[in-house]
Amino acid sequence: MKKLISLILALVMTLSIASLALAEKPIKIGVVYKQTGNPFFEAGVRGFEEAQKELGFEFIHNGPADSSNEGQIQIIEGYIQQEVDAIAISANDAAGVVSVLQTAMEKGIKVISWDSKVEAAGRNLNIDPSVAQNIGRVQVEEIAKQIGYEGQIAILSAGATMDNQNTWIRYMQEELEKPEYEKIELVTIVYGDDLTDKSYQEMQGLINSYPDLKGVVSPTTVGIAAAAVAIKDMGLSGKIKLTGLGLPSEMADALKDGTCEGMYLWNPIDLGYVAAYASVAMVKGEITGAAGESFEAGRLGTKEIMDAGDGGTFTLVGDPFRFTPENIDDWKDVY
Amino acid sequence: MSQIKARDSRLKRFLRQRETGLVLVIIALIALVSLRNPNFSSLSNLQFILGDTSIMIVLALGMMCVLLVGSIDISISGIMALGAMTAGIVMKNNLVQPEAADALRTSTPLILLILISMGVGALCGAINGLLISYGKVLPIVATLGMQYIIYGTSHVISGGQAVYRKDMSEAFIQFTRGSFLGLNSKVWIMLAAFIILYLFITYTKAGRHLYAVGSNREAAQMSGIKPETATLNAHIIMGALAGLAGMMYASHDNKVTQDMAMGYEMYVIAACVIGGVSVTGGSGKILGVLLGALTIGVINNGLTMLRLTGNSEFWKKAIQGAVILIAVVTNVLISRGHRRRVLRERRI
Amino acid sequence: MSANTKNGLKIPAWLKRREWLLVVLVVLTYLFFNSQAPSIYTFPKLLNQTRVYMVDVGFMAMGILLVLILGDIDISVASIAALSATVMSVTYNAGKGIPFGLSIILMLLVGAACGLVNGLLITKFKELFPMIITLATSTLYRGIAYIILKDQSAGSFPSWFARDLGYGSINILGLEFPIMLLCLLGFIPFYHVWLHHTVSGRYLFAVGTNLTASRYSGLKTDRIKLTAFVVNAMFAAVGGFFLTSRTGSVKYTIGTGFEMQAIAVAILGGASTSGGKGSVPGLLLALILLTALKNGLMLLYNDAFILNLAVGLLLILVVLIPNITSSLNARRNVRRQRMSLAKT
Repeated sequence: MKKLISLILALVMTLSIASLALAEKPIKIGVVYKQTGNPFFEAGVRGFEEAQKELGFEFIHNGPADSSNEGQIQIIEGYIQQEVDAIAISANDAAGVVSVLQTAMEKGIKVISWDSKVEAAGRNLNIDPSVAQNIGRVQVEEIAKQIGYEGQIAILSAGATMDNQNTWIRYMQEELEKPEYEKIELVTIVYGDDLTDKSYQEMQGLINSYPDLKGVVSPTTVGIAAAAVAIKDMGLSGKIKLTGLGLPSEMADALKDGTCEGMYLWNPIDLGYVAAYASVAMVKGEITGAAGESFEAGRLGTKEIMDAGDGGTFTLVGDPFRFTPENIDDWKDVY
Repeated sequence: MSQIKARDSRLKRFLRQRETGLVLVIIALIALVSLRNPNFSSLSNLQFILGDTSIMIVLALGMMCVLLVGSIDISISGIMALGAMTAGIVMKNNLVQPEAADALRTSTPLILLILISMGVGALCGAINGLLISYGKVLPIVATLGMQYIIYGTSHVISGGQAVYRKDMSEAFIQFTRGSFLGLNSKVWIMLAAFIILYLFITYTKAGRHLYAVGSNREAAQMSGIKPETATLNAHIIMGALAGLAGMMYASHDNKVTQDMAMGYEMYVIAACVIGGVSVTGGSGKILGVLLGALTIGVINNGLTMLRLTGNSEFWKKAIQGAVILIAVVTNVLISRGHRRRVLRERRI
Repeated sequence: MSANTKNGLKIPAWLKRREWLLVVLVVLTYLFFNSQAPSIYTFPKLLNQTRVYMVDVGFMAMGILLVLILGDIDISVASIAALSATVMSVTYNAGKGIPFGLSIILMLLVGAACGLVNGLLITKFKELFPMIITLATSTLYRGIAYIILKDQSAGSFPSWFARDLGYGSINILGLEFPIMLLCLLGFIPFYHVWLHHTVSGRYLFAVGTNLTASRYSGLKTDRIKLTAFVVNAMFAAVGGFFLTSRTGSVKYTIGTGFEMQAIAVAILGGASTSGGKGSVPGLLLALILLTALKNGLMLLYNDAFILNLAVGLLLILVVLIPNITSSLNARRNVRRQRMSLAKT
């Protein structure tokens, strides 16, 4: 017990040293992404930097080491402690950060989700890269064209629990119901957990399990890169078609050697750029995040805020961009 | 009559070997998965499993040395990442020939890169070994702390940037993609490591000391063996092998990330235990380790080949845990039976 | 002894106690970060951050401590927390299932069941390292949570749980104490008295210090181990309970990686994986130190990897430094004895 008392004394001592400081400060945005060291989010941060030069705000960015929800909560709590004016987050778990973000909003912090949304109760606005339906549709159109509208295809997704992945896959399945795709059979959906090693193994498993497989759609940047390596390693470049959402810098080789004839992605720089503009507009009180409002997003023009149908609102950045062997050289050094 | 009896007992002895039991387990697993997906036992898939498991076997060989002296290393995935990241940075920035023309960039000799990675690994291993043998820090604590430190260091030196395909030399990419006599180069690297380590622990003094220290530290010390040196050696071997495995992993993935291979260490330890290495030190056979790692490899690949779709995807993790548990427990039961039989025979 | 104290290099005996080393480190950490970020890193704000760094990990570490005292280890605690939190949220089912109180009891029972399985496997298969068994069961338990929840997250808890417990605070003497922290601080004295001052608590130390001797002196060592694993698992479930109150919903991935954090806390607080050691005040101080350190690093460097790096360094140094000083002292004593022998 003596130790306990001495401990309490130590705590009380430290109390007396608590200090105060006040300073007037510019707008400060706290950016949270899914994982540190992911090139997609490095590009997203470049979008914030670009907007920073035009608008002159401050921002800090961080993501957990292990793409966990708990890690993101730690970071958000740290941002609340630093009294940022807005938090822009790409959530690992749409529901798991709602509570902490609600606390942030109670303290007057504006919350914007980008890339991967937060549930409506925990955000002021969501920045969607593109309409989810379009993202699903273009990938099905692409793979159908590549395999000649006939044969077996499979989907290599990231995690079975990822909200945006599941939404896109649902739209892909809806799209495949259409009559022009009736000869295409979706044999299975496998999950690589956004780990290169596991995605590679899953891809290899697909190829060995389904000898008649004609094509693979991988709506995740880690998955498509690993799948391209696996296809090439097994000497099946061109025989098994591959498309999905991929980073140009990671996929440049695969596009050039014919492993992948075409793939999509939106521009993560634009995504960060719009998220920054939206955050600043909201902190300045120009918008509240209600449907029907609009804000200026620099070089990308005016963005409309619309009803997202989940009880919240969203705005769109643009359509997914098609990367081909012809245009990849223009992009591979950009992001 | 006696001849027949002798042959009989030799056969029985063969069957009673722990390694035989493991081979049977592996065959049974392959047969089970093949029932659902015949392609599982196809030659190309078996070759793939062997190649894919080679990385784990290389690590398990090192882990065996560490476990033999009664230590453990849970920092190996960090060492893999740091070794590969260091080599990757040297390759990416062409630190060896900074004056080379653009065409010659990323042309650092492969062997140099491997030595760099293994050297970094051996250094980390040496730190582990020093902490444990001379600092008297318990192995789990020392390597748990080192795991955090090593991953942090790999993050710091990388500046948060991964090393990608475009930064890698062709030789490095081909490192794990060559093939000889139908076997992937990873398998040959693994076999080379296996043979060298087999010779080391069977025929050299330093190798035998690992067993001596692990089975009875005091006795070993009194007979003139330095337990500290043996522990240090084991950790340096582990570190160097982890560096090699890191290079294989990175070449296989075409990518070095700062969080590479996180969590891999647990599978490696499980492989050793399934292979019959005692975690308290002193006993374990190198062939058992190889088979133990193959068991884990077959389980992991089997789960992807089970063609679990839809909701059954969610069963995978539970199945994986249950199968590892069953494999480990079966192994204990087999060895208990074995020991009991040996005791009974001795009595007669 | 008197010769020792004359030597200027001798480190004072009281400083050798882990608790005092931790107190010094806590004060230094606080002063350092407070001088670096005087407006953000203040005591009231740090108090608020204890919700993030202290409570859930703290309960898990209290459980792990029991297992470590026995000389075993359990790396399935985070999975146990995930499975029991899953059962709690699924049975409550956003108010449509059983009453919340009942699902909390169910959560504790599930935790106890997981601990029972661990304990039985460990006492029945002594050849196996607890690390391997709990590695396998950790995959298994999280796997079961995955089967139950699939890709869904379950939530919509009563607001006293998700708001007040997770984020609320009570004003005491002008300071806002998080309710969660008060739960932890209110519980620790009982835990301390039980572990250090009752017979059943001391049994754990006896078994951990010398298993064989304890068995010969009539202790039912297997039953003690089994009980420790069950109690440990229930602590893990409680940790999961507090973690859930912060996240407000449960996904099967909840608490991934917390087992290593909990083990690190217990070891930092003076426990040892070889058994027989561990103290509750040390554990509490380790929690305070990690809170102060992690929060400060988060503010200054804003980088998850640097945070881990510092924790790793701290873990090794805190364990290493006393070892080195004591072995140096031992060597010096031997030399001195030899010299005095030579003189005579």
